[in-house]
Amino acid sequence: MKENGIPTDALESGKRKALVVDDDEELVELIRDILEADGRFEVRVANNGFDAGMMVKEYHPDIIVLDVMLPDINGKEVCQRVRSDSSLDDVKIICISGMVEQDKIGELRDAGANDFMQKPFEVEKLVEAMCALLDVEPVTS
Amino acid sequence: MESRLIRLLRAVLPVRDLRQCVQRLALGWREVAPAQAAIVSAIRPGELRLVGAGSSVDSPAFFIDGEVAASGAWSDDDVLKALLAHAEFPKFAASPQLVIPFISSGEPQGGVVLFGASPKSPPAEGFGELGEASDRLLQQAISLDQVAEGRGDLLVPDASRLEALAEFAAGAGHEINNPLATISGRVQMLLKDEQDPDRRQALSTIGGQTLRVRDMIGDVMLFARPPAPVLTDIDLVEVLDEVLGVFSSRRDAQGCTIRLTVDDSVPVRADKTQLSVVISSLIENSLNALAEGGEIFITARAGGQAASEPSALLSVADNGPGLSDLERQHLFDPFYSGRQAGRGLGFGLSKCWRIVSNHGGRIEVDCGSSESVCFRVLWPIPG
Repeated sequence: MKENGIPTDALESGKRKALVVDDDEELVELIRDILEADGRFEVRVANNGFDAGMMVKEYHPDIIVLDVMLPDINGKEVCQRVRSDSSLDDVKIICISGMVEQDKIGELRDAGANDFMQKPFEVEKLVEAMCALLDVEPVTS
Repeated sequence: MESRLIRLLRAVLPVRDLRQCVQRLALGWREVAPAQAAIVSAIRPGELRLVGAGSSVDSPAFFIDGEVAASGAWSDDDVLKALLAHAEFPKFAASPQLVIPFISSGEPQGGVVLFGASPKSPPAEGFGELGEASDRLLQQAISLDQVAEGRGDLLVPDASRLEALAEFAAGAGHEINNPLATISGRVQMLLKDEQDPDRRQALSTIGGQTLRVRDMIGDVMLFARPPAPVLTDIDLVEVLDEVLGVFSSRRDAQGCTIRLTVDDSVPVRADKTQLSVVISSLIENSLNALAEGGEIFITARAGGQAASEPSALLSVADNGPGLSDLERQHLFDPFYSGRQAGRGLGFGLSKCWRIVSNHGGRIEVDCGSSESVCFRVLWPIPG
């Protein structure tokens, strides 16, 4: 363990690295709890697009759970920035938003999002979708 | 109830001719009163509105057979005198039938007098009746388009108001989803570990209700920010048949009859899913209004109402109880439901308006009779 309490290598622990980005802190905490309760994820969080951008490079997550409506840059732009960096090609992105407009959702996919989930979402579905993207066997309950 | 003015109009001349008549007169105006002509030419026919007569006119110009009979500032008395004196004009062997002032931006800008084709005496009481009818128009401000189409109490959705509601709804919808996601997610997590049956039941109820709110917001967003229509050339009749199939069991359970007057084929340019939503919403709206034994009349015609209008017509009417004043006012508002509060979301007609508008079509409601309501949709055709 490092001094900041974050495991130095998620792969060593067998856990996958998830970055949760949402400006709603309650929701971020919820997703963190969901993923930590699942036990297969190591979680970091960001509350805006700028921090998300910094952390993607520094933390190099396996997957980003990304809110679309962020206070600074929107999720679509975050997707584009991640996809423009070839060193981040293996990073999966799952967007979450309250939007229901199919064309907007299509735009997110075009910008590089691998999946989309509408808020409010089913906790298990979110974990399942993340596992599917990361080729992790889902837990059968 | 059909307004008295409309009845008068119908009695006076073929109403479809009225618009042409007014346009012709407006052209005459251009020649003699440049300042007012500018106003008239700035008013597109769809924006031209009829309001009041006589005292509501600041500076009427009167036209007879397209010629200016008089113009300038007229008092009530002047108007009346001119009308009464008109019978003495041998050149104009016709009686005044209707005084139509123009208004623009809510201000009266002038007016025209329409005359019947055959000579009649223009008694003062006749003018009084016209004036009275016109006063009703002052309150109702029925658009010229509606009158020209020869229809009665026609209700056209207030687009700017609905746009404002949509803007608000979209913003609120997005904001509500975040806390809703947290409530829903926390409930699901608590449910995982909860063994007590009562508590499980309570948590399930909370979770179920969050899904209900989510669905409501989904509907709000479909009204506020619907997906752009994916347009293809399709047959309205085929879509109508499919939708009718979905409603057959409910129709039978309710003991209602659906009568169809449908062309063999009605080509339209539309997003099929969205067109289905419109048809479903209108049928559902009628079924909701009908008691057992009620009837729904559906018309689908290629070519719309007038040959000049390049659109297909879909109308859905029913012989239900008609609309109250309050219902007329809020008919297209999201969340407004004429039924008991809490039953149904009241989103059907809001979505209809949005979808039809997005397709470049038009929706209107004829509630001229207290015993029927007719929704008319004019839908663009391929082309």
